[in-house]
Amino acid sequence: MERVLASLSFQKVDRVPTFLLLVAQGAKELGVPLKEYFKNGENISAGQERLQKKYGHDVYYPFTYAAIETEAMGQKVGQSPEGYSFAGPPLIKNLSEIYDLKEVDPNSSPILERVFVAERNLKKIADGKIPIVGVVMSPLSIPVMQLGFENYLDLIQTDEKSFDALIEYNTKFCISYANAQLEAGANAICYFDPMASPSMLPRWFYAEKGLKIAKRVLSQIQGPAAIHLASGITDGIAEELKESGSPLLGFSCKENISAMKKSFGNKMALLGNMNGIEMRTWDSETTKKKVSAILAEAGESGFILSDNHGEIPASVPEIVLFEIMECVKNDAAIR
Amino acid sequence: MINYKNIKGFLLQNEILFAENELNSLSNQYDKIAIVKELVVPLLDEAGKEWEQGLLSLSQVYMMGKFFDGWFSLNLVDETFVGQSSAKLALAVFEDHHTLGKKIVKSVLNATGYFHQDYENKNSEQLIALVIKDEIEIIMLSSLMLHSALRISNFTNELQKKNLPTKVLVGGAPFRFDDHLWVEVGADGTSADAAGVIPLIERFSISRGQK
Repeated sequence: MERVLASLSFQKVDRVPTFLLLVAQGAKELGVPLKEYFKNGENISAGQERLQKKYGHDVYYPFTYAAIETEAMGQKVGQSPEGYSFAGPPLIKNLSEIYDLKEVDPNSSPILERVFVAERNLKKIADGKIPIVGVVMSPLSIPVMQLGFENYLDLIQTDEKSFDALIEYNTKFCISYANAQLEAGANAICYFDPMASPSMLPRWFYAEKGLKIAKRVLSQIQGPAAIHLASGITDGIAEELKESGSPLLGFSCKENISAMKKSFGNKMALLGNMNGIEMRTWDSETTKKKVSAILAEAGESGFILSDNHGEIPASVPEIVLFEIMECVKNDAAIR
Repeated sequence: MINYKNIKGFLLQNEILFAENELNSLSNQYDKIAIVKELVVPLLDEAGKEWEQGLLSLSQVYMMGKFFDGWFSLNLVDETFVGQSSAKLALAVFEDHHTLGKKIVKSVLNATGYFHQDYENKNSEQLIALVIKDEIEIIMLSSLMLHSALRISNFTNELQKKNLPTKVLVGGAPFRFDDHLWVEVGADGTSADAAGVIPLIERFSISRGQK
């Protein structure tokens, strides 16, 4: 915990804090089918505890799947043959339904209760030593699942009133879900906002709307919240991101670390930026090369090593994860 | 080459009416084949590359494809008018509900006169049956989630087992982050942007003696 806080405060650290954002791997650790793993919070906390002991990284991450929030709103969730859950058909089929969306109290949702159970358990296990990071989807990004991507883009283009109404609904939910997780035991929140990225929407859109949404939410979350663009680039919205009030930014593998460090200075620490999809094909030597290159640019503080998407695929070999931690320890020895 | 700078500028500023007027004016000066080959294809190709470079957003690329798709359907363009390729084409989302990528490719195909089947969201077994029934020669598969993308190998393996000659083109976020993923799943090609499927279709059509 001290290591993470020190890095976020731009103080020198003993080694670069490392967030291995492992999710489905917990099921394998427990020997539980993935379909069953996410069904209860006890599994999730037990999985996170085992993973942290195994690899020695610096976070508990009780994330389940992105669609858990829209599932709590009533959306059907599909499951792949392997057991991965994903958003089913759109929750909102006609725009008029936006005005009839029922408010969801996260604390009364049996869907979300599994996350709170995991966080309560992890709080006891962590005993203040390892940060517990909960996840929320931003009001700007969750409509991709609520409406379907192209319907959402059409909405943005054609119906400002309905867009504003949907954002209002999502903002209330996001704030209450984030605070419920902090109440349950999370120390910080990861605010996933891929639609903030200029990869997705024009730069001016974030400046005009996305930033306002982020500032409103982050100012009402009762704890620190990182902004994560889930592989999306930040180029062109750095000034707006710095204005958000968030201390930490999850950034893309496509971005240059030195340029990012220069751009964000000590306004925002950086979280990234290993390519989780590519990591599936890494061997020991490739891992050493890639991670060493990142650590060489990480500097003495203000950096947390992680993948760039917010979840390391389960198909990344264990040897890669062990090697990442080995690189971090070796890097510390020569600092 | 037709100068498309004005249209592009109007579209990027969301001035749809001005873009329509400009396109209407140009279509009075040039025949539809020229409009497709010298305006639509290079403009969408340029937009796709600019998206890859971080200069345009996905929403802008989507909107451009949708604009041309809409214009062509309003102007009642015959589905075979361009006759670019007589290869039997299909597209689908593979075991996924995220349809934007397929939608953008569909707009490009519609706007450039490539007739195709749209199989919506299908799994491997369903696609094999459809590919056989419709004698599909080139199928374009889109996937946003890594675990769906990896399962495309089930489909390509099945094509091989059944000795079906269908070429498989893949696209979607996972393929943009791993240059070799398309090879890993047994596909025949990939494109980082929607307009990039056109040269791939041309290439496979030529190699199959379609031209």
